[in-house]
Amino acid sequence: MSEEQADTPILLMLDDDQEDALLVSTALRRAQLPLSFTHIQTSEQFGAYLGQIEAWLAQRPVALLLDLNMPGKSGLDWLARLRQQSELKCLRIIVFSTSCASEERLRTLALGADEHIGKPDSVAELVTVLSAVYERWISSKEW
Amino acid sequence: MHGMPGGYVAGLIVLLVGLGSALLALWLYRARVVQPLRRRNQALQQQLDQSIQARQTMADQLAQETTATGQTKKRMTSIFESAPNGMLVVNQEGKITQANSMAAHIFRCQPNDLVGIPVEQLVPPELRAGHIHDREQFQAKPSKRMMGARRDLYGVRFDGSYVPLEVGLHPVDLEGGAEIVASLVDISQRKAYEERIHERNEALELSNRELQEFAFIASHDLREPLRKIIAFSTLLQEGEYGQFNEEGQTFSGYIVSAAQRMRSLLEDLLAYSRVTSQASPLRLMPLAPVLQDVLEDLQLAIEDEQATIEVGPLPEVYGDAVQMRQLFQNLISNALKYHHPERQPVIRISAEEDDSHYRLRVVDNGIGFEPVFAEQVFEVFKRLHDKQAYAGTGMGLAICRKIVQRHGGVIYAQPVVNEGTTMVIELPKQVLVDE
Repeated sequence: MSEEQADTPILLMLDDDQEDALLVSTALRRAQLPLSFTHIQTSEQFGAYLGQIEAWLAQRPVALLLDLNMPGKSGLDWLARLRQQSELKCLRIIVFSTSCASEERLRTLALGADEHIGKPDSVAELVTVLSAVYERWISSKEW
Repeated sequence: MHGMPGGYVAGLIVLLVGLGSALLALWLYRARVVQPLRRRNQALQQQLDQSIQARQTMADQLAQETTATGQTKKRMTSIFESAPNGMLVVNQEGKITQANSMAAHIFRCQPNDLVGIPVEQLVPPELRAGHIHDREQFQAKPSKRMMGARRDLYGVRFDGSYVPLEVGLHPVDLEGGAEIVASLVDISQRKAYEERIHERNEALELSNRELQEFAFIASHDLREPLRKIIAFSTLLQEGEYGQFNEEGQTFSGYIVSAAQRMRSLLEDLLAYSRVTSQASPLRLMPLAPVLQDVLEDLQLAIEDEQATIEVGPLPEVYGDAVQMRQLFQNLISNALKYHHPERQPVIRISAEEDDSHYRLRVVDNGIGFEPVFAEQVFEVFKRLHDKQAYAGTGMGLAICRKIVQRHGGVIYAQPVVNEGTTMVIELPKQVLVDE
């Protein structure tokens, strides 16, 4: 991230699954979105990022792709906690889950997720989904 | 006066008169005294005879009764002895005066060991004080009753171990005060059975819950690797990492479609397990709007097949709206899918009722199937056609049956080969168990 400009939007991904991170980074490369992408694999690592996120939010949009099924602190736990922190209210949280079952979606949206999307089957679909996320939450909106 | 002197004659006369008087007196005595006496005597004799006879009869009766009493006593002793229950007789002071061998067996001793000891010796030490109080109250105001039927009651055996008991108390009102006949049943075996049944029930419930969770988690988590297989296979197919030849394209296509198929199986398994794990309570709901929604969802397929759908008046039923929708969606999809190639599909949905049930019918004019398969089609993953001819996982009707069963109803198929299939759903008008 060192080479990016100071106002490049940041996309974080909290997911214990490295392969999914690989698929997302592949899709981002193909979509050529002006994003700085960082994959965080564990809750511990993510906890250390919170201060940094707050600092980033002062300058640029930050969005989080949040997996739900993780060992230890689950995505739902993080969602609830992040939404209680007023300093992080500009953080876009996009739940990125294997399941897009409607009851789960209702739950995450109720907890304050901006969007709930199911992990798609192919990089091609992922390109479409991530481009839409970028358009909707990162590029044009004020943060 | 010749011969006899006048005094002699007079004397004779006097004698005669005297003799006559004496005879008269004697006669009078006989008539007045002796005869009544004799009669009385006779009567007395008669009375005596009768009395002796009566006494004899009484003696005979007594003897009979004595024999009978002896027999009764023998019989009672035998009943007491051979009773399947332990029997104890407890006197006013709380001492055991009689015990049968079953009682001895329960307390692991000889019957003689029990006779003479206070009944409280058979009660766990911590309950003795309470038992004395209870017994005295019972003796003051006795009534027949069962003990231990509702709460745990224990006796102490001679070896100090405890035995769970059921105790029946029968007061016997005697002149010297009420005695108590206690009948004891050793329920340790019953308790052990109850415990085992209880344990098994718990194990069964646990295993059911685990199975539910397993089906849910498995179908949830197993989709994850499948998505990876699909995603990376398609990534490889796109050529960025080297070009497949034609065969390679075909084979990699098989990987993707197999993974996709596996995923639909899991999704249907998930739907199947959700019928019970993610159920909403049953509420009185009209079926007509459900059907309307389903037909809207299936609009494209209906137009594709140029199908005619006729929906009759439908009742309100106790149902879970989401599941009712799934039920009719599956049934009507099937009716569309298995349409006859030579005629336009006509699907009729109707309802009738009797006193206790609504009978709903989904009737199609499709290809039907052999009636021998009428039950099998409801089995999990059961398919009658190969997957080239008709797509699907074979879960649709299994889910339908599970939904109907959850609603306390039944579903069955009435197929006719080449003519069509009638699916019948019977739903109770009243829900028995309110969830």
